[in-house]
Amino acid sequence: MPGLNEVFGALADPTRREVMLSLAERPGLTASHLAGELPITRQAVAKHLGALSTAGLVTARREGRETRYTLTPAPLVDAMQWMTDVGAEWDERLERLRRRTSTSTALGGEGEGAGRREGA
Amino acid sequence: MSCVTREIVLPVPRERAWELVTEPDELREWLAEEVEFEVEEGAPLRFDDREGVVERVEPGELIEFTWEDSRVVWQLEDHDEGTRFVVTEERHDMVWGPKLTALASAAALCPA
Repeated sequence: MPGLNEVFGALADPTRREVMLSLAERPGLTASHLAGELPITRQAVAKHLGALSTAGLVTARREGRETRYTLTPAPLVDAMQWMTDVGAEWDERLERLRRRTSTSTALGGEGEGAGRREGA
Repeated sequence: MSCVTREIVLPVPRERAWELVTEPDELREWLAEEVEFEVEEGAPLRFDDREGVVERVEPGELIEFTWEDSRVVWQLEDHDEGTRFVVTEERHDMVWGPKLTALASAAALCPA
């Protein structure tokens, strides 16, 4: 399974994000379809589809002589989870910082493990 | 949403807020137990097991650094009740835009 770096790397490119959105709206598009609606060549589309596929964001399915592409959103969920986790870490750190400033202002510092001392 | 952003108003003047986010002894109180940090562009840093480099310093106002696979920006701004501290963390220039964010949210709620 591709790592988050591959996922974020793939999504860092604006054209690849456009390809993703096209596939989200119309699953099963071919590279030619995509080249028809995006301002890039079929070769460029193929390259972008390759990068998205490596990141696990699209899957290819052969149908006769055509290859159809579909979005696989699971890595997007992992990416969202990363953002949620990072946000939660900052919430904890900033809460420690907030407590430190409110206690050092009001009480001139306090011992370790004193916990919350508010409103008294 | 293009990245993770948090902010807090610290009931202290800017000068004190700058100390809180730059002095290793202060950082040990809220950021990490082990702190190796110097407010100097190009200086390597370590917060516990996260390593990175200080990339930009505007004294009293802004610090930008990398840690692991992320880029972090800390900004200080004047506020009526003290100093506003804004934290931004992003990974790979993560400018998703509203459509992709909506798509990711939908995927999280209703996995295919």
